[in-house]
Amino acid sequence: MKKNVRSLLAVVLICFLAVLVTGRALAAGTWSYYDLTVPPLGATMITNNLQKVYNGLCAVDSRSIGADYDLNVYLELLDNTVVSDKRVINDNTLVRIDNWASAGQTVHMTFESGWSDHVHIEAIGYWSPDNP
Amino acid sequence: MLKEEFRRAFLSWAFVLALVITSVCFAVGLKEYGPPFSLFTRPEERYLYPFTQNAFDAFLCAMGLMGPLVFFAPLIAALPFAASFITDRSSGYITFILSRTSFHRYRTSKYVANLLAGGVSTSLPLLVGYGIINIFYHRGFPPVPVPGEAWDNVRIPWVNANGTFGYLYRTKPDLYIFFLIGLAFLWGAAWATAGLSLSSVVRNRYYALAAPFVFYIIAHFVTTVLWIAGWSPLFNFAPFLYKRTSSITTFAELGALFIVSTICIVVFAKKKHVYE
Repeated sequence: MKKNVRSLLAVVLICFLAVLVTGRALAAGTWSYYDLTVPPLGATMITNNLQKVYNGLCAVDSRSIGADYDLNVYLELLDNTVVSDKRVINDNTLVRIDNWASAGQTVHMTFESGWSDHVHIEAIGYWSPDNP
Repeated sequence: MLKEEFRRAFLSWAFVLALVITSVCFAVGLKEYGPPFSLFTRPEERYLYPFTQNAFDAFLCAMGLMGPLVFFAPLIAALPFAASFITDRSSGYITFILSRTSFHRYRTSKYVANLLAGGVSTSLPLLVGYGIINIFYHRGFPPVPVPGEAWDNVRIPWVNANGTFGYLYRTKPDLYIFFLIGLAFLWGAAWATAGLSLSSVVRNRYYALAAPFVFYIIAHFVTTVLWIAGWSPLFNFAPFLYKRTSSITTFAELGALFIVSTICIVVFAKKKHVYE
């Protein structure tokens, strides 16, 4: 009997911890992987769409931008309304970006090449509509 | 003679047009950067990020990161006076002037006036623009985060700018921007000289004005495709656009263009060739 109670308590504790850890992760927002090729001459490419959980900052963790170029990055709503300033990103750049998107809205991150970039540029990293 | 050539180069509609094009391109880049306060930061949070929009980043965006000036720069440099060998011949001005002075003095005066007009047309609007930006935008940088932490609301998250003298960007930003303006002057002077050297060998005014621009775009395209973009003339006009530019690529390329163009003028701009 005592053993059963102990097992039950252990299961409850594990469930409680699991809920706590998952909840904290969800509350903070989660990272989403991107691997995009941005066309040249000021063209854009977007990530997948995600729903914002909270108002406030979104984030980009850029791991690599091809061929030593910089890219502009900004947040857009599903209908391509721009809701943040443009940020310049490079290899290994972690930026948090203020924006007008509200919790519940579906957004994506848009990557833009420069006017002077004549080649396709690959961008790899993680982004989040919230602030993990 | 020099005074007369200066008057013709600087008091002309072509020079005014070059200044206007540079200013418009600069303004387009500045508009893309945004006003002195971020439109996307909530008003009650603006005090948290006072330097999100700052004068130094605004200048870099207006000059090249977000504007079209880098594209049109060789056209702007050549516009004021580079085709003047051709226009002097077609208008008959050269007949008049050579009756009063030697060809050597005429050519030297034109060379100097064209060089200065090209340099001023690409750099003066940048200088004035930087002055205006300093009136309206905050002068300061957001803090650099510790390694591993995020840049919060920073438009250009750079410790150092890319390329030539980029290490001055954060430590001596005014000096860095004056270097960029000075470089724009030298760059405009060199490309205007290239345009003048072409006007001594071609007969069509529009070819002389467009040829430096076409060469510039082709050179940029070729260097980019060949993965030697550090040598692109475009990236050496605004070296912060590309990591691989350096003082060697910037000044070696500019110097080579200037010397070759000057030699072409000396060799090809002979009295017989220009006059007839």
